[in-house]
Amino acid sequence: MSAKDTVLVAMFAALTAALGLLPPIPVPFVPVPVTGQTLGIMLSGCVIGARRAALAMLLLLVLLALGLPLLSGGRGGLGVFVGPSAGYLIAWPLAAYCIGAFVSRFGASIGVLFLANCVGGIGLVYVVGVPIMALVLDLSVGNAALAGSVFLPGDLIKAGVASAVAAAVLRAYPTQKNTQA
Amino acid sequence: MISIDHVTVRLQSRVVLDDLALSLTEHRIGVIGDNGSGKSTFAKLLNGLLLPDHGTVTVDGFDTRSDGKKVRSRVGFLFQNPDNQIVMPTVAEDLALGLKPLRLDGDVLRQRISDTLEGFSLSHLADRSAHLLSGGEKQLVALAGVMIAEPDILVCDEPTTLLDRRNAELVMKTIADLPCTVIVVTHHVEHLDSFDRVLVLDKGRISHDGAPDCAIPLYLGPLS
Amino acid sequence: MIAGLYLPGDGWIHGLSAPVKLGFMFFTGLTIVVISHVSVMVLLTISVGFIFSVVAGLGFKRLWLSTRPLLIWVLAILLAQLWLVSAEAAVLISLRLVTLVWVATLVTYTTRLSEMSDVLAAMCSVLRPLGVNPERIAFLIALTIRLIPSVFDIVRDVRDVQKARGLERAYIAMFVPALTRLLRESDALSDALTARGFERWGDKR
Repeated sequence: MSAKDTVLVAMFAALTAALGLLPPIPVPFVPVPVTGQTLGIMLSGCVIGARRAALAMLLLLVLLALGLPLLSGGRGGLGVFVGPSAGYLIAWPLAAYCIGAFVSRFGASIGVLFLANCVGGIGLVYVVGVPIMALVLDLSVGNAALAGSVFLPGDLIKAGVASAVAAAVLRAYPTQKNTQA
Repeated sequence: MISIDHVTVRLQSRVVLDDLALSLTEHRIGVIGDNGSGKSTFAKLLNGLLLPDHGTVTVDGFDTRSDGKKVRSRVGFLFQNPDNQIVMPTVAEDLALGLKPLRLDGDVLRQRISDTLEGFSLSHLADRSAHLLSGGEKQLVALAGVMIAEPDILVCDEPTTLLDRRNAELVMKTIADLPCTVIVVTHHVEHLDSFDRVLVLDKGRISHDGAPDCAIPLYLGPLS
Repeated sequence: MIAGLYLPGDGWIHGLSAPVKLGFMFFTGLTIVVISHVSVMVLLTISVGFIFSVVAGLGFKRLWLSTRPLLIWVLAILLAQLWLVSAEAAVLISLRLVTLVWVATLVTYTTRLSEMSDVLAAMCSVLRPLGVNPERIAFLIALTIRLIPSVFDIVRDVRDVQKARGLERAYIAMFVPALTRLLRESDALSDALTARGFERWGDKR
């Protein structure tokens, strides 16, 4: 890894952690508080490329496992890897990779970014997260999906915000250096 | 010795440095010029952080393009903002970072760190958090972090721009007293009086080149 | 600086080495998952709770604090299982979840960050033939921990600026400048690392 890769990986792991430290953003019509961490995954995937984004998320999981309280609400430690939302966490690196790969394949227009964030940042996260939640809670996958769907409106809003932000950032900042995986 | 051989640098379509050709052999060299004159670009050429679009830059015969690692082990670099340069949490840990390529053993490493800290009168800060220091202290820590690797040449890119007058003087005096060759890009022309040579950059070209008492008035001329 | 969740203490569990505790966690975890009898599960839950609060000296308040985030899930389990299967299954699954989380949390609370890092380093050096460099990973971790407060400050600064302009709900206006600044600082930081010999770390002397 080059110095640039190293710094970007650490920077976006730190960004995703820092977004969890901010107070949750209340969103109208959504019963669950929207925390910024999904935003971190999506922004990483869109902005720094698949490989670096996946490594950044993996790094964040390692920091959590080592005992740092970097999830929203100050959660962390090994406990979060055996709870019902463990699957969502494990999906983060995959999601970031998927978003990055999608963007480098189809370009960085806002529409593509939004689609990438929905497929990778929401779809893939649910596909991994819901069955594991079902397993831990001993629910049927259908019921677990129903329970998980309360987060869907918030996640869609975040996908929208992340796409708009990433599109603007990729335009405002010399892009060719950042989008390569 | 650094030779710059017909070097042109473009950023997008703008020509930042235009066909520069010179060699730098003096012990103390200052580089001055307005914002956007290409000063920072010039500094980053000297250790290969930035590569020329045309021409070559060589340091002691090593091309920055093909021998970047060897060039950077000879040329130390001090940035404007120490916050971006100090990487590790505490002062001593950060100094250790600069020695990592040498793979020194624990005791030798600690000795070299404490010697360097003493050389810069920073011993009392060894275990302090680097980010809670004052601006002047931070810049000295950054400098110590570069000099601990014992470069032959030190390039400084506006090392005093973010400092108050007193700290700027302290940092510049420390830099000017270093035993190695020093190249300083700066806005603070008053610090260059004792230098051997001053280059004035203007729109990517060298407009004046000579002793400070000659070059500096020519640069300041039109304003005063 | 970001602090770990480790809580200093002088019980013998604090004194156990990290690999032993992780092995204990793994073994207990397996046991918890395998147990299918409610009364055995209740017994195990009580003993883990006792070890957590009394033997390790973390106290009942900590035990409660690490259980609280799970209550909503326990409620979901109870509702779903009562309705679908049986009260017994509901209790078993709830206790399983709570006990698993307690065991894992116990390890995190009683083990220093540095000890956990050592375990990680040992794991990484096994992977060395695959091109994993433990030194670089240790550096990545240190760098990230050092960057979190700076990133947090940047995001907060930008939010304050937007608030001052009356735009506190304009998330896009808030994140674009923050992210652009992060990218610019990344450039500066990677230049600094390069200038300080980063690319020569792996070289032979």
